[in-house]
Amino acid sequence: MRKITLYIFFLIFSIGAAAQNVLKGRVIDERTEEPIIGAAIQVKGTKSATVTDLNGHFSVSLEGSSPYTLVVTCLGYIQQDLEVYDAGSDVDILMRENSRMLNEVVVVGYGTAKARDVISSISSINKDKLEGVTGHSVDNLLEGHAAGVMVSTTGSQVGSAPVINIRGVASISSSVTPLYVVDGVPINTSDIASSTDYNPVADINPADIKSIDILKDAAASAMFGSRAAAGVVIITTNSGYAGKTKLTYDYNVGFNNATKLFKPMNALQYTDIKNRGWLNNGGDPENLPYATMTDKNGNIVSTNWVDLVFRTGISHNHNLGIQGGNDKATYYLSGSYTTKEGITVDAQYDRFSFKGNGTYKLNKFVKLGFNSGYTYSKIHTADAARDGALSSIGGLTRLAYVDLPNVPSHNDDGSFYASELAPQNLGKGNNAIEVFYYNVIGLIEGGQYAESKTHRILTNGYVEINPLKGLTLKSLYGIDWTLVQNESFNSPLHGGSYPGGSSSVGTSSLRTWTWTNTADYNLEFKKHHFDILLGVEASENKKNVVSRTGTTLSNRDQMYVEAPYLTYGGSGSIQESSMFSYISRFTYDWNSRYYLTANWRRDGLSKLGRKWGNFYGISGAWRISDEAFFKKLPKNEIFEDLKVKASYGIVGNANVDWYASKSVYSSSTYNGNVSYVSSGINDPNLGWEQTATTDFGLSASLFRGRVLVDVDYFYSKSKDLILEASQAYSTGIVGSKISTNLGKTLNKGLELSISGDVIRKKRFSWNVAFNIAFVKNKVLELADDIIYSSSTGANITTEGYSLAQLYTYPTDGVDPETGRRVVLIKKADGSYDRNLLIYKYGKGGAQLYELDGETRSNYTMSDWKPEISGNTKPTYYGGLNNTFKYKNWDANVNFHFSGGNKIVNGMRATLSDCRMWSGTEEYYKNVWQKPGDKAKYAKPMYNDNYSNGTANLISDLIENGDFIRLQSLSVGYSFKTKRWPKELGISSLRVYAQAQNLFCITGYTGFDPEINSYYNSANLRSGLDLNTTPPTRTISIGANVSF
Amino acid sequence: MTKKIYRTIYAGMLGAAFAVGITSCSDDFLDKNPKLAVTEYDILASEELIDATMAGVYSRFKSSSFAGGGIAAIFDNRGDDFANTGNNTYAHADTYNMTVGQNSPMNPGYFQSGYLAVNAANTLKEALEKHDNLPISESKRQQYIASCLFIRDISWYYLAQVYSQPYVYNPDSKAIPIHTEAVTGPGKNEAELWTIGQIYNQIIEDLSNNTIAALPDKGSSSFDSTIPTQPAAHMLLQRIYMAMGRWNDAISEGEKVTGFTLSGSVAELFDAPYHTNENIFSIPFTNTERGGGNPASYISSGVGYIDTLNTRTGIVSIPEYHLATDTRVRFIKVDPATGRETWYEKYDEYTTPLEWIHIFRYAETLLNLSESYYNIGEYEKAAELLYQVRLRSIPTGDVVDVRTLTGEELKKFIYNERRAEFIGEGIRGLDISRRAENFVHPAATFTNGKWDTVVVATPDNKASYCWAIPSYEILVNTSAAE
Repeated sequence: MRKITLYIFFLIFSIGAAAQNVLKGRVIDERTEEPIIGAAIQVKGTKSATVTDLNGHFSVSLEGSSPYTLVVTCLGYIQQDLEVYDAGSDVDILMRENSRMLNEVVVVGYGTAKARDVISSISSINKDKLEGVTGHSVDNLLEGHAAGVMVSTTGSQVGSAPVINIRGVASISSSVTPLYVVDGVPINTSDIASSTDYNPVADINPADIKSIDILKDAAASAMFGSRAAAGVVIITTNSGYAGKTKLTYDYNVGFNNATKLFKPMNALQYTDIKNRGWLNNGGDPENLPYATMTDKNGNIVSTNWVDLVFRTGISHNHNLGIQGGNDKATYYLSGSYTTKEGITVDAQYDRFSFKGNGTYKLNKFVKLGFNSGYTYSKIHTADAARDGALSSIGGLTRLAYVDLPNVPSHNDDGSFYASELAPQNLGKGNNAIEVFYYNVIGLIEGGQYAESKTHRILTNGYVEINPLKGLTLKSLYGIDWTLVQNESFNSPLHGGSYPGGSSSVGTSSLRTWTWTNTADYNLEFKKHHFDILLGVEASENKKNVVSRTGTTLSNRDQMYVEAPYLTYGGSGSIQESSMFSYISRFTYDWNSRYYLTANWRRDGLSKLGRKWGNFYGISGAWRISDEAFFKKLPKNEIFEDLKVKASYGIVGNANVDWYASKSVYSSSTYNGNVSYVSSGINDPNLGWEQTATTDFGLSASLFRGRVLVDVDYFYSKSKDLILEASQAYSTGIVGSKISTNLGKTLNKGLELSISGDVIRKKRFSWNVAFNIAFVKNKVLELADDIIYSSSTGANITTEGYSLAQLYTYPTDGVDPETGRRVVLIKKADGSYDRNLLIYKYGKGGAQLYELDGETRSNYTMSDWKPEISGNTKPTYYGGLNNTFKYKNWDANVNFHFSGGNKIVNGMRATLSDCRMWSGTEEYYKNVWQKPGDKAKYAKPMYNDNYSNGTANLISDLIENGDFIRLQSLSVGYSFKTKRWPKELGISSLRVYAQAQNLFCITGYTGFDPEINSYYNSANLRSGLDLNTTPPTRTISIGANVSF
Repeated sequence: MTKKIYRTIYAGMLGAAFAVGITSCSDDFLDKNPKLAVTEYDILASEELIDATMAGVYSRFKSSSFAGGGIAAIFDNRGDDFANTGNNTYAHADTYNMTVGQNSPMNPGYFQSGYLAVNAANTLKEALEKHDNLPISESKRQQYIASCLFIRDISWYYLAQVYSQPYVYNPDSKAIPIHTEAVTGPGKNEAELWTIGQIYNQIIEDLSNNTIAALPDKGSSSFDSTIPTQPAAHMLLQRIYMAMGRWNDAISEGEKVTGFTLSGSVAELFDAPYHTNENIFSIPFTNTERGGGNPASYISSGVGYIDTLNTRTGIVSIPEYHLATDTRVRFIKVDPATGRETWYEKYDEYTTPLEWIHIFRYAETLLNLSESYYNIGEYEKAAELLYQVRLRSIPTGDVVDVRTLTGEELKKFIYNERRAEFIGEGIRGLDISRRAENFVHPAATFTNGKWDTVVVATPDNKASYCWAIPSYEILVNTSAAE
């Protein structure tokens, strides 16, 4: 018999008058002191059993002979075995939550399994893990919580989605966003907004989520066959339950600001450094091109544009939920409102979401259910920089740093300061040189903006029938419909190439239906357990886009997109795809000791030429800890549970273009008449991308569930990856490429998760969960050996390396004697010659010199060639999550780390350029001045765009990407509402404070090591930090009350 | 018992749903074709689609990197009447400096768009040749085949002008890769460089009398100066014969161009509706097809563009071409900031460029004939043709009577008149290389009150005289490496 030690607190608080054989008592959560509803109590060895009621009360008759053993079980709690001697007194049984909930249900795709019986690689995150972690999107919440799941917040553009890589990058050209399945229905995750970024996953209100299960290996994900190569994220939302109706309201207010900003140069620093460049180039000292100006009070004008563009934004979150039901029907209803001001002026995110679901038992064998949600979100920004638009002249972050500090933002009359020659540009003040940048504040005040208003309906309904014991037939129909209203406006004040103003309005609609029919048969036969699932699934996607552009406002005072314009244009598109699948799964276990699972799925997809593909997974597991020999081993009691597992499977990637196998002509016009031109040539036999994954794993529960360890090794090889085979320009094939199945990649790695209770005292507990993954990505085969073009910029993808290597021009710092950038010219034997780069404006531009700085080199600039210079994909990443509970206090401290990758800090190049724009104070202070200076930046030369790396990104800009971030920190206090008058009706009240992105420890000198300017094309473009908005730090306080 | 019946009913209902699900999986369900595009199999299905595909070939030729702007920009920057004062390789700084390398920014775009036009033409041509029972008349089929030949020929012609040394310098100079057949799938990357001579001969062979006869003639109701026509084909052949020094053939082609007259003024060609009785072949722009690469966007004073007039040694520096009574001088624009003549505004619609780009106009026919007659010694004819063109712009107050000129003096005036007439239209660069002349720029020094010049490229130095084939092409088409 198990000894009752720390876990059970057995209190006798009243002395019964007479001996009875009916024991009464209460089951309570040890920490919250909340009654536990539905806990099962059984007198061991007898048939006497009962379940606790709504108040946690129970009464059970004591049968057999004293001492009796009560076995108390409840989902999510550690089982308690306790001895009682008689029924003389009422008992309070305190139960402790189980951190490894072996009995907990894990969603595995088209069904559920007990965590104890899961033999594939699945990371589960349930609600209480997410407590104290707010964010406006689910994907952000995953950061650092699951081994092998890399979630990278790449910047703060409103609406942008994080980059998610589950176990590496298994494709080259196709998206590796995992498949999201919400309440059994796959949802769309493609960004269909055209004016701004839009993260479809953010349409799911995190407050509605009950649990998240991430399927990582093929054994688990092959159930989703062709869509599973990038992993599957299964989200289960809150639902009602039989019992008292519970109403929950949560509110928090937060303050958002940039995690890091640089100090820009002031007017004096700016004119000084720019004029120094002029003089160094041999310019006339009597005719300096840069000069400060004074305001009407005689003070030197020095504008800090960064202060004007960045701000502290305020956010509010309201969440209201109500859930309840009885034994026939259950329901859950929720509503939420989120508003979040971005860290740049004029950036705003708003979301309303409503959700309702319910189940109804028609009779003993028929159950009906529905699950509906509607979300409205609005993304508004004046920032025109999206997905690495480095040269985007409307990019606010770039403008905040490059706009001249020696001119004012506004004129004395309040109008914004503009050029006389080209009014859309910033005025030049007392400088001799006209600027081609916008006045960033003028741009915002002038009314320039882009907006996406999104309406999303996610709904499904199902019928479940149990005609025979063990047989469940289920038909599930789901709809996912997103309608985005796209809007953008170029104000006549800042119309760029449209000085009369222009607008674009339109809608993008993406509608999907999925109909899944499954039959599941469950059979227990002695200790054999079989589960067979068969099914079919059909789905269809339709995307319709229309847009209208208006050019030149009829009346410049009516600055609206709806206003009349002189000329209109428009465009539209229709895209459709469909998929049909046969699904099957066979599961067998003997006494939960030996497991065997096989699943097979056949998918047909309209997008491909060879439409049908077969996908499967097989896996086996062995619970060693149940074996007799194991129990005889010394110290075996260390292991509560020990299981080894292995799996193999093949999955696919369906994230291909809508008509990837069709060669089509699309319409254009010639002289006002319709014309049809080829849109490119595609492979009519295009087939599935396939990934074969092998997984070996071990999971153990040690010290009676106090420590849990999971180790997984995976090796996955992807083949037939869809790649663009290069076609010579002279073939005249549009795009000079034909997409075909050619590429191969390899991702392998090790994942480790350890969690446990470090301290388990009644009043104080500390739970630690740590995970780390080591992932190695390698390209095995490409169509043309390399993927490198003007569209991949400073990234190159080539065989034998991980995807998206940095491709920069080799340099070796600044020569202390001359102040010139040392460039490295590779020789035939692989060694380098050192040269100096000297830029002479008007005298040949950038040229190479010998190390004396006087003699022209025999090399020319074209001998200086870019080379592979660093891996951009993190090779390790993970998280460390601490949960503390002390009396009524709780705290959650969640770290997230990653590293092994390189970043090219392109922003540093922009901000140290010698052309007319401004930069940082850091540049000013670290520029070379005199012989002997160990400077970071080269001697300033008028108009020099080479020496610090703008024209060609140089290897001196490469930095390590390793970091550890305090992702979230929360502290909460739960009031002892038990002691409050019942009339108040409050069953729980928690107040909390939380912070996200509080700090990041890193050697990276840019805004943030997670920035990836090309977040929407991250497979082939990463490790690039090019003038991208820094991440947001949010500090908020709130309260959560339940009735 | 009733329970069993209910169970059976429900199970049956769900079973039926399953059955529906499975049967819906016919191939139809997985057959999705783009609704707003036409697959390659359906493109010849109707007359409208064939017409549209033909127009698509013209759209390709009209690319802003090619005939829809690029050609004019390139062959003015390869010249000496403008000076490219910027340092911007995206604005043809290296074209002007004669330093276009394999990876110069504007090089691949020009190369690629030329071949897009070639392959669009070849693809339609073969489709029309292969299929019988097309829903168009036989005469239209022949017209379209001839039009495809014309588009590929003129595209080859323009490509060869920058990648090859002049025919008169070396007819065996390697030029560009040639596909005479359509490329509709993978495996056709290797294509060898043809010489300039081979290319010219192929064009002459393509534009046979029969081919030209299938095109609309000037007199016919279907004549349209925005599509290939008989006179346009003669003009192309005339240019080719001139480049080959076959002056008599050039004259015979030029004489076939009839029915045209010079418009009232050169300016008329650049003001709406942009077509006059002088247009032979022009690239049209409409309000929905604005000229992204229209010459207006680089040579006008618009926002201070960087192709400025070469006032030191360019044509405007020669007094006979800067006469107060020359209506063409009105195109010269003074920079208000400096008070100096800086820009040349034939194309002045820089906010909404709708101006047509003229590939061939009748003034060129006349001046081509003039130059050809000069070269066979018929000075009088040559001078008379020259006079026609000059008179249109200088009706009064001319300081020279070109009809009296002969010999070298006449040649100089014919050459210079071409510069004055076509400045901003991309003819100058073609003329220099056709005659295998040196490319000459103004120097920063002057002697005897005149600015000196410097030679920036000579025909014997292919590296500077010609553009390098783009590196991507050589990487993929290894046969294109010289």
